[in-house]
Amino acid sequence: MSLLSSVAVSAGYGDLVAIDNITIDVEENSLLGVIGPNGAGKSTFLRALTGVVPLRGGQVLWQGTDIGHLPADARARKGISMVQEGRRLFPSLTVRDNLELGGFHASRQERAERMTEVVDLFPALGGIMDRSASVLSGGEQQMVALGRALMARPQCLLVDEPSLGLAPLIVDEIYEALPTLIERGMSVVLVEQEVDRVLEVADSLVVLHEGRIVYLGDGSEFRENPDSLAAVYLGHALDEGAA
Amino acid sequence: MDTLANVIVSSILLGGVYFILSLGLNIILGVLDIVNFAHGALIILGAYSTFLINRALHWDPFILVLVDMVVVGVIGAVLYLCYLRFTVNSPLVRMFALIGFNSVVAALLLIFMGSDYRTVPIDLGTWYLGPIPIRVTQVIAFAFAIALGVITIVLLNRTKVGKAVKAVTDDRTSVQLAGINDRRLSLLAFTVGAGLAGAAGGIISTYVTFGSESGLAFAIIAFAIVIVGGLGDIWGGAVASLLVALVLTGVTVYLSSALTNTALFLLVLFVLLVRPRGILGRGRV
Amino acid sequence: MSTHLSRARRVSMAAGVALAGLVLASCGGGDLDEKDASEPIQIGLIEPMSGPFADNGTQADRGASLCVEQINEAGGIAALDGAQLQLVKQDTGNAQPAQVANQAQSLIDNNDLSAMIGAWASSYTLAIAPVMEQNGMPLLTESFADDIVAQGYQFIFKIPAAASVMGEQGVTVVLDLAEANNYDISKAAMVTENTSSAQVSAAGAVGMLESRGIEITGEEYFAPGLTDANSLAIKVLAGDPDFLFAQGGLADMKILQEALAAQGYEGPILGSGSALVNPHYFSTVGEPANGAFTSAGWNWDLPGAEEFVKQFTEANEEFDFPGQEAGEDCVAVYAIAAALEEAGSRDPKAVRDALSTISITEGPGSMVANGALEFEDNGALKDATPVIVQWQDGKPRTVFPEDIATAEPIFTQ
Repeated sequence: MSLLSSVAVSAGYGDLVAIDNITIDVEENSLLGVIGPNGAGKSTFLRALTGVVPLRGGQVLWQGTDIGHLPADARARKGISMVQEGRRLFPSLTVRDNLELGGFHASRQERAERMTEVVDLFPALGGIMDRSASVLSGGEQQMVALGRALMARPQCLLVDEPSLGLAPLIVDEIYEALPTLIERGMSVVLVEQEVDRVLEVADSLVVLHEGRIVYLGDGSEFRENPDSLAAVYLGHALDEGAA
Repeated sequence: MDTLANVIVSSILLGGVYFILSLGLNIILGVLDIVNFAHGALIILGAYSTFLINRALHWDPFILVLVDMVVVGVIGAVLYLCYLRFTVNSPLVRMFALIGFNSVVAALLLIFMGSDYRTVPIDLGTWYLGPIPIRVTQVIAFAFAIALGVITIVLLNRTKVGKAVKAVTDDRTSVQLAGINDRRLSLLAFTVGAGLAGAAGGIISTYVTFGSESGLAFAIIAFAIVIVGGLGDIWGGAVASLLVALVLTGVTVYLSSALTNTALFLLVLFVLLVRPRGILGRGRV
Repeated sequence: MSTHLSRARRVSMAAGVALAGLVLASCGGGDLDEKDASEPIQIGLIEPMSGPFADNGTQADRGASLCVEQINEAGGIAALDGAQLQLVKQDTGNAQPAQVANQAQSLIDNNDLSAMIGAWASSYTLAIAPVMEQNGMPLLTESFADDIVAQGYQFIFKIPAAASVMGEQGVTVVLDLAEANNYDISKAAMVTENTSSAQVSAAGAVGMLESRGIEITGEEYFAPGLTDANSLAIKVLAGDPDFLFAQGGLADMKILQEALAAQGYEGPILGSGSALVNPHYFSTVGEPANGAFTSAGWNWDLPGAEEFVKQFTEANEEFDFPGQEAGEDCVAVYAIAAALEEAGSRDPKAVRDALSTISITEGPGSMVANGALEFEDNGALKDATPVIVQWQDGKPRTVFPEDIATAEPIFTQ
């Protein structure tokens, strides 16, 4: 049984169908990369999994149980955390408060332990704990956002475009943390525009195009033949493009 | 010179009460994004709660401020649970419901309490600060308002739940994604906001005569303060309370009391033009 | 062609219905004067018995009701075979004057009224006056407004003195009383709500003060529904006046007088309007109410009122004394009763004619300041004298006219 599955999931906004009939399994202890051009429905897919966007059809299974009808906070309490695009911190609170709210349901002692783990993972956070979240640099914000998600000690972490707008060195630092999370037994779903970085870390790969899956596999084809990816991005199935 | 000092002292005392008057409105606006048109009704319910319990049980009006807070808080919770939470996607329906709540409260008060203006008998004499007379009831009202305001701010800034409430103001989706039940926080915020309005009504009842529709004038002041202070900015609201009290008192004394509402309107307009995010520039637009 | 026919048929049907109605009316109702004495004589009472003026309208109702009972118990109207009086009440609520005119019309249409009493507020009374005139229905009013007897109405009879006289007289009397009591008034201030009638009487008071050589240190108008009176008190007292003319609703007067007292004002206040004649004035405003002067259309300590006051307070235990309107409307009921006796008819026009000739010099009907109830041709009370009262120990006491005063005016320096 997969940790988290989407079964024929559809979702959208108003008249727009953003994703249609998406069926994907997220296996335990693995990293799933989700790539695709702008507007392919990557973010909507994550939002549908977490409940930020309501389902128009299909099911979201958590360890085999349908959680598609649960509100976002209830799904989060099951063990799904998400780092949204644009980080979305609480600007009126300090870094420490942001992190602590991530571990809202944990005991005080448990929270302190998790806090230590987060600082171990992102040592830069140690020095800015009492700073207001409204004055952080982009990189710091991204670390706080990831830290806040990890404070819930999720089994499955969904991350939406962590590299967006960040300097390469900082992106490096964030990507270095991802394997550590897998080592700790977590599953990660990573949505990215930067295909190369995803290929480096992903155990499996989904390519979305106009709300549909155009590729689902381990991504090895692309590592061997990067040009084939361009075809997929244009919406061609891989075998056609290769032929 | 005496007049100026008198104006300043009077404004400070009034400003304290205005702060508590606007605090509940500000919290509900900040957390729930609800422009609480029922604020005036909640205030006047607090005043009547003090009046009725004081008449029946002779409890001290200032102790009753805390009782008002509970009574009106519960009324607010019921209003939220039975109606408002179903109107999340229809602000127009919600606005209608809240304005309607005002009318319902006014009508019920008229039916059950009659048209008499009410007053809570309390007179603790006058102190003199040099030549400036200060009524003891107003000093206690001020102290109560400030104490309640400070307690609210401390709870909001220092407790886990309080921080979560503030976080909802910032970003509701992120709160949900942190596994926090934001609907309960909304209920809490509305209850606390209504309770604070009730407390404000209780405080006001100690120095003002009120009838079934007296809440409106106070609600207008509260709305002005929230706009001047910046939507959702509590410290901005504190500064704005003092400013509004100074303007209203100053205009009355140095110009004419007939111009107070005009002055309030111009102040709001001026702040909207010059500092659309409120006097401290930290409110939402 | 067919439409013409049907229109003609409709007209003839309507005429038939109307004719049938007339026939039925003449069979069933008969002529007014031929009514059986067992049928009560109806008097319309139109007052604001709810809404912001409920205190005043309710006093009117209680006073009128009590005196109707008195007359009925004493055997009703002798000239009409002992027929009983009956009040038919209409609450105006907080309606607009035009609506009140409609209310008056339907009160007349739906009943067999012989006279009416109402409608307290000047705006209401001025609005229903033409209705009275058109229907030939006499109205006895508690309204102060000068206009009500200055516009040629034949059917309006006014119990209290004219507002202008009251305002000016109030100032004159209080200034005279102050002088006689060695209280020096050299500076005065005015604070009043900004409603139009209040502004008129305040302007009159200010003019009178100025004509007496008194310096006006401040004129302040406020919007009713004060949320804070401290600033107003600071402003009004900035010029250090030793006399204040103040008027407003009860709610505003309460917080205003509290604030004035807190700001250290102990001098005399002359008020006007409904608040200071409201029996709840003292219980609402408290200690600062004592010492306030006002002119009134009637006061409970007038000569001849003792029995009425006794019965009123027995019937209405929540009041220590009847309010101005209770007394005025009792007088109105007795005036109507006297007119019915005089006319020997319940026809409104006959009652009107009798009202213009009656002269009551004893009994409750005569409990007005000048001791006699008689109307002038324009409907004003003959020799109407305003009563100036001062609140002392929680009750309004008549301090002018001196011959009927029950208390000495008190001036605190």
